[in-house]
Amino acid sequence: MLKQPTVPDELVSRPIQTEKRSWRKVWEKIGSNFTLLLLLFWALVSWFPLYWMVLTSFKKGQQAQALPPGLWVKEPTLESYQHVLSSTFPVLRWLANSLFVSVTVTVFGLLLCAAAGYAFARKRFRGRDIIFWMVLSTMMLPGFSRLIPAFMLTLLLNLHDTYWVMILPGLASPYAVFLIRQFMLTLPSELFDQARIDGAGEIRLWWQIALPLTKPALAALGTFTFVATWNDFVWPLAVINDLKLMPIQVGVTLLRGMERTGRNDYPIAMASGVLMAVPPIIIFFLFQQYFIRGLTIGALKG
Amino acid sequence: MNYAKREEMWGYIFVTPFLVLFLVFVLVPTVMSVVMAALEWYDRKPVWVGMDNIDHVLNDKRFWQSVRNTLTYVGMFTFAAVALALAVAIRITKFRHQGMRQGLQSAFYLPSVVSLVAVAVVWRYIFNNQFGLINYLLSVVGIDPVNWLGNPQTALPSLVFMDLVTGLGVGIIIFVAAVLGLPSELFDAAHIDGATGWLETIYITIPLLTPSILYVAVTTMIVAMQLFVSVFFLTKGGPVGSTLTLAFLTYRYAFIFLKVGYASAVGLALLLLTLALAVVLFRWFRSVVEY
Repeated sequence: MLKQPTVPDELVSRPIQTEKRSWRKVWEKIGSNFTLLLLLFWALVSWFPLYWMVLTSFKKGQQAQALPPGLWVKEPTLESYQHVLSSTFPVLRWLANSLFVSVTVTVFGLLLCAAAGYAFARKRFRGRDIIFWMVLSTMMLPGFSRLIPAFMLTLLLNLHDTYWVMILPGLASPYAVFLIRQFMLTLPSELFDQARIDGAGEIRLWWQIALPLTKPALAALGTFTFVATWNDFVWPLAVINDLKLMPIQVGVTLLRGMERTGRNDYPIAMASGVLMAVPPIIIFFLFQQYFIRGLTIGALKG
Repeated sequence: MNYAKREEMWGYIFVTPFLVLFLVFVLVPTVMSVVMAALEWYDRKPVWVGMDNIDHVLNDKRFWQSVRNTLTYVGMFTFAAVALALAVAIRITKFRHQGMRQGLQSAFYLPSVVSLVAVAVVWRYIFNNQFGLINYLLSVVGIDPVNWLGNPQTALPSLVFMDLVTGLGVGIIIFVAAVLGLPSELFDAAHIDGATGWLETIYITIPLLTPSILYVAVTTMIVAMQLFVSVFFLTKGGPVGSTLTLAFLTYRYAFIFLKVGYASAVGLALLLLTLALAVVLFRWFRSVVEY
């Protein structure tokens, strides 16, 4: 019954002139190989400093200045690590401070921002849109321009040289609120209605329905917050002078080889570099899938 | 209490803890950053000095030098970062295997979770004049050693390069996701019209990515405007002020010279300049996009 439709001759696509086509093929080949080379080259370049840091940290002082520089250590030594950890400065305490501050900021920051994001996404209240717009617009401002005002403010509040001054300012993150709100907007209302009919209170709606469904965003933000807090340098440098309260990023600047570099100091500086690089790398590896997803939600929906 | 009232009350309850901290540590400092440019501090007590700080700043050669340096750095860094991240990301999307793509995304992101403090110290070693790796590689090819960080001509570009090496991760991840999210029909249509490879990338992929490019360009620019850590560890603003940036100048005036009012005026300039650049970028992209 059904006849095979016949295609008129002039509609059949023909290869464009063969000569042109082959040139295009050649250019494509060159192009894709060029970008592949660029990709490999950049991967090498961006990993190399890390490799160099780890490698040098296992060298003996003098070896770091050998020419040609060795791309491998024949006799790795832990001397530099011993030097860092047994220095007169409380290096372990600094690491513990960093860990404590980063974990606290991550946990409580997420809770606060998840509560606020929930309210902006799913509650109606007067002033909501204006407040949200205000929060959003501060994302476009460079944090550095708040350094001195925040410094004076915390000085007047007598917060300098406390853990509070490292924790409190990190808790309220406009970016986190924005991301969580975007995520919670996509949750179906029926879920909440159903739970409400079943008698769930407001807190339970948030804790048992909204939060679990926002897990990918929370995991991404958690990783992001932990890494950013761990790596924060300028703020603690400004507000912490007490040796015992310093986070590792600020503390290491006092160690040998960080400020001034003498003959034997590079391996020591690299060892301290490795010590402060490891925790964020571990966290990143644990949550990398979420992390990638979370980063893109913010960018593509925003 | 009726439903709407209750709803409103709970909205406030959920938002208040965040809002209090946001007000104290974000909004108030932002407003203060404008006011503080007109104050000078004596023994923890503010004194109103009007336009004095701003006058001083505007007549300061170092300020203008740091504006120039900051803009040069931001221009070079933002352009190079967006272009490189885009090129690498588009190549990543050509891999058919999903695990491969994710692995590459992670691999390119990993260097950016390492703290800038650690990174800066490695690079001081790599850039070293006598036994640094770069000069060694140059000597193998027969080129005389360059004092990368000690020469006013090369110091700022060296910092750009160093920050590029660790600074592409976010851009790559966002671009990969953006390319993969593009509707495939468009590419099918383009294939029928004979656009493949380069043509496809230039005429279809990149124009469709404009929103993501704008996002990455703006966020990269904002971060670059605050260049501080690499300057602090590698050059201290030198040689002869060639790497003095607005952020570093702010820090130096506030915490080393203890001229808080003056530093606040520089900080305000940093804020306004960032906003101006963001507006320029938005305008520029809007004029480019025509769909």
